[in-house]
Amino acid sequence: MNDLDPFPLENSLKVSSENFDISSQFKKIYDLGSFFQSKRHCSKALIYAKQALDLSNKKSNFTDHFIALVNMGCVYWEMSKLKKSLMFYGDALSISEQLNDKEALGKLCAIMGIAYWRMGDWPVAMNWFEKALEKFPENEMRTIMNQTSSAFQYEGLTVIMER
Amino acid sequence: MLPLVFFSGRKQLIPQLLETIIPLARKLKNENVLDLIPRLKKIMSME
Repeated sequence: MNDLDPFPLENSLKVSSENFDISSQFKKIYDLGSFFQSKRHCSKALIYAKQALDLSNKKSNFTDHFIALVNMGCVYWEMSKLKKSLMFYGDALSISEQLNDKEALGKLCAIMGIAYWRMGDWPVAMNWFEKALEKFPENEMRTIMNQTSSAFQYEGLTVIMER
Repeated sequence: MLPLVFFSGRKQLIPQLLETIIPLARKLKNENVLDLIPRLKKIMSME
């Protein structure tokens, strides 16, 4: 999606909105946000991330809500607003705990740790790293890393970790 | 940087990074960094 022209997608989003197709709207809004995020147009990416979050609140789909929260966290991360990003990652973490999603838990705990590390709070960062490896051990992490693509819901987290 | 390298699956780069960081921290007398390295190595199973 990142190399595509966003305008056709913006137009198709209008069609989805007119047809009240919330699932399709969510995916298109997410893709538009990712496009602007990849181009480092963070203020525009934030607009779409907020729209996706609002939309996910209207749906009773945990996965979409998780993706929207992670996306908000990623945009704030890109904007170097780490404290704000931690708020959204923290909410996403609660959902992962409810879903018992080990991969998401491990990645989110690691990202929480990296955020504290960057803020200079090293002891708290270490606690998060320990928790990350407890939830998602290194050997399992390596298996996931060797896969060619990550699942859609982990895309935002993977982008952050690979930059 | 070290944790990001570790959690992004590039553990093989860590010994090289530590070789740079530890002497530099010693030179700068940065006790905070020197204190946290053993725990970090333990977390990353680098001991």
